[in-house]
Amino acid sequence: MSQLNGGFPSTQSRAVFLAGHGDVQERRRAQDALCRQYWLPLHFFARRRGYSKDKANDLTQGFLERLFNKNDLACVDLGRQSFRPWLRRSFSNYLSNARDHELALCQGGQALHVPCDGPEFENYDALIAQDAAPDVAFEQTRSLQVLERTFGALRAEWARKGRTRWFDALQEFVTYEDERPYEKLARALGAAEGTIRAEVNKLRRRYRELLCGEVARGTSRPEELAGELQNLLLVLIPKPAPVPLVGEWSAASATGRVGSKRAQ
Amino acid sequence: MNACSHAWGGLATLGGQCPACLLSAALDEGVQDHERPVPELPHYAAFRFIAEGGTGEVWEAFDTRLGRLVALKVLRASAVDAAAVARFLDGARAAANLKHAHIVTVHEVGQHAGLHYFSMDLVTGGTLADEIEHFRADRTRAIEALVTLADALQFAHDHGVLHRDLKPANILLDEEQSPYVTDFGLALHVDRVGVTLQGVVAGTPQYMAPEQAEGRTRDLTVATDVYGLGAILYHLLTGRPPFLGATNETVLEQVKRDAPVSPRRLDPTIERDLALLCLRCLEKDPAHRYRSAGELASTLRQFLAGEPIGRVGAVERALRFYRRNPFRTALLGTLLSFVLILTPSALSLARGEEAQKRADIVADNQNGAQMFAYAVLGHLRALSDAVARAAAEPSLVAAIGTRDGARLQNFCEAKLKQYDDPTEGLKLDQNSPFDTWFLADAKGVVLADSRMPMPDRARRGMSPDYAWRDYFRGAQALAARGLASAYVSPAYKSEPDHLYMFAISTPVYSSDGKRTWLGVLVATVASQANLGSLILKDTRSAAVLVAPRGHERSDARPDPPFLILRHPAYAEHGHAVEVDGPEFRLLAQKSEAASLRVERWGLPRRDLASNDDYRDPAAARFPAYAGSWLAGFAPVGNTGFVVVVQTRESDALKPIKHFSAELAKWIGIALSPGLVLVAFATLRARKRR
Repeated sequence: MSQLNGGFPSTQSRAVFLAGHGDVQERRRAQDALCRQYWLPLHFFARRRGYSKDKANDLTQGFLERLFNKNDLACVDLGRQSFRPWLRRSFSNYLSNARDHELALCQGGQALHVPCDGPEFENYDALIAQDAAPDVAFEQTRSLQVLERTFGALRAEWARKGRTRWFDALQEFVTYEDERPYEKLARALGAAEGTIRAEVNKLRRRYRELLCGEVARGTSRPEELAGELQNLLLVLIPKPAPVPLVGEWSAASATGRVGSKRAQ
Repeated sequence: MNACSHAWGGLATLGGQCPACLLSAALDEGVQDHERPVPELPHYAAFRFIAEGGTGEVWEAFDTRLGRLVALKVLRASAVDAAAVARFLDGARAAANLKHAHIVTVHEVGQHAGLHYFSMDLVTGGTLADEIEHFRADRTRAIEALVTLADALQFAHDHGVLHRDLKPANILLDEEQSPYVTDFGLALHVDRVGVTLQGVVAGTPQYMAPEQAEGRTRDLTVATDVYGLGAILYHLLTGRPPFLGATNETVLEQVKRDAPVSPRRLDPTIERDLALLCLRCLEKDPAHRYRSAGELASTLRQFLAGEPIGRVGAVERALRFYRRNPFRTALLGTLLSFVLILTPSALSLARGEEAQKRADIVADNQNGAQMFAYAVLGHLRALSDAVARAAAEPSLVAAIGTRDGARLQNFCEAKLKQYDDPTEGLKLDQNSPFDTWFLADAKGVVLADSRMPMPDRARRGMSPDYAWRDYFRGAQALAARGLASAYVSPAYKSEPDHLYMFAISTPVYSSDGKRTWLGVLVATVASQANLGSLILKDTRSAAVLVAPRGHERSDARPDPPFLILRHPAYAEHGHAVEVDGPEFRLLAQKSEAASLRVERWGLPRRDLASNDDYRDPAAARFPAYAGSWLAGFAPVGNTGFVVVVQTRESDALKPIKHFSAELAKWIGIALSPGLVLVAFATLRARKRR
């Protein structure tokens, strides 16, 4: 196994490292992982730069293939810079060049196994403001993807335990902290209120755990996790202030409490 | 449903929830407190502030190596003196060795870039301090929680670890509200106690054991944690800690000095056993608490099972009460000893006095009876002498020799009219002690009678034959021996006048040298005659003369009862009331001696000649003599007569009984408020049960 540069423990760092430095098989697997993780954010980056859906897909694919084929990843030092800003910057440059030289077609080489079509394309297109900045679209897409993956994992866990019915009834309480509706829910599920409360607490806790795990995969150092979580949230909040971007966010830039998350 | 200010709306893939709200929920508010720097540690991504303890902060963190959430306790930067670091690390290491289902597990103790930290299980149901009221509302649940905690503490103690800072805030609850002991922040290995923190008061005052409050760190034992458990139980039961005060100093003072208010005073529904159990945990002296957390747990289990929990003995309870309330106990003790010692001794004194008084009176009466008996005997001797001298008069001897009826009649009547008092040498015309004089021949046939001439007797159909009477037989016996003395007969009922009387009889002999027995001279004394001045000035007492009863013509009883010949109740002569009893049978010794005298047997035994519960038979006719009498008995020489001196018991013992009654009354009055209080308390306790 190749030596890890700087010993980054997270999956993200490891994937980036292996995609650039691993042997053929490791490189292939790491590249697939990065594709799955960044295809959609890159796609909507391009969409909000004004490209059509198909064009954006072509450009994303082209960019990623070039990224992997030219082995640009080997040059990324995640000890000194964050991966996502670097990726956005590279893609932005790629798009500029593509627009100049119309280099949009597949340039051969290995095909990337990424679904180029699916409901999420339409859904995200509807969710992300048409006039959103490409950087914002990228980050918002990523944020939504993290949440969906987390929620999907959570649902799958409960389904494995044969508790889909309970999950369906309780899932809305991950954000809903007012405890009064437990009464109704307890009747519906035929359980004691205390049991419902305990189950909701377990659900919330596991949700946080999975979310942290998901986010940690995208960070280089553990101490970035809190900031990453904060970033995921901040990019989703409609701005009065300019949206701070990954790597640029700092405590000083946030203005007081962030949005309301409670039912009013 | 969730109307939020974000523009996203609910996403179907997110369970209809807003993505921004979902992220907010994960972050909660902790990380948004920008004044609080997020600790940066390897492997741990702290993202959510939970709480602040005595020595550090607690964060929810993501363990990036193991992919799980943990609680991360980080030593506060401002508390980095050596003692705080030592305490922090001691706590962490102590807990790290304890693997118990209800002790929060410590995973890692470490230091990074000068920051001390340890990670432990994340328990997310809050602390017991937040749920006191919930537990208080469900006492069984509260006790079950205490049992769980006590078991966990026993486990820690078994591994040589004391907690030393038990309080509701150090008890975490999971989603099911199951309790977990955490924050062994002050915990020290039992064998290291005293090495550090000497004299430093560390802990939380409201839940701190007295030995901790006094800074006696060498004295800290498992009993200190038992105290902490008791303090938590107290809070769960009553809704407040054992001691309350405006400042920590005042609370500490109370912890050291005061007894906690009984839980039942704060909430009367708390079971007595439970309250006692709780107070036992909170004893000032560690030796008086439960010996171990395990013992406390098993006692609580017994209580939950409805079994009577090891009740302490009365002595132990009294000692505990004394320790809690020394002044009140001293006062109560004094009162109690007054009641317990003085009352019985006063009553026994009174009873002793009464017994003594009773014995004294009986003895006095016996002596009195003895003296009266001598007097009666002397009187009878005088009367006997008088009769014996009359029998020797020549006129009588001449007349009986010739059977001259008229002269004999005159003799008898003259004797009745004039009594020749032998002791005083006086001839009295009146007040003769005798009622009748009569004369019979040697066959018992009456020759003359002072009451009526013989023709009248014959007309009335009265039998002239009295040879069967005791007085004739007595005189006959004397004549057989040629004696000229007199015989005192038993009492009998006279046939002519139906009066009760006794007789003094003597044989009459011829005046020639042959001294032929010619007949018997008889003088009778009716009952109630004033023999021996049997009169007592003291109206509470009575002197009574009892005589044996002679045989009647129609009464053939072998041992007829006695007759009371003289009694103060009798209004006139001739009355008599039958009486019987062992005293009389014993004392009435009639001898065949020629003269009246005190026999050799002398004074009777005191115990046999007394009765302190004598019933006067005269009461049947004279109700004033009913009741119990203290009586002394004495025999009248060899006559068979008995003198009784009797004192009414109620009169004699009146002063002493009055004293006893007064004593009893005042003791009763003195005790009654206490008894009423005890009765009231008992009733209340029963009602509650």
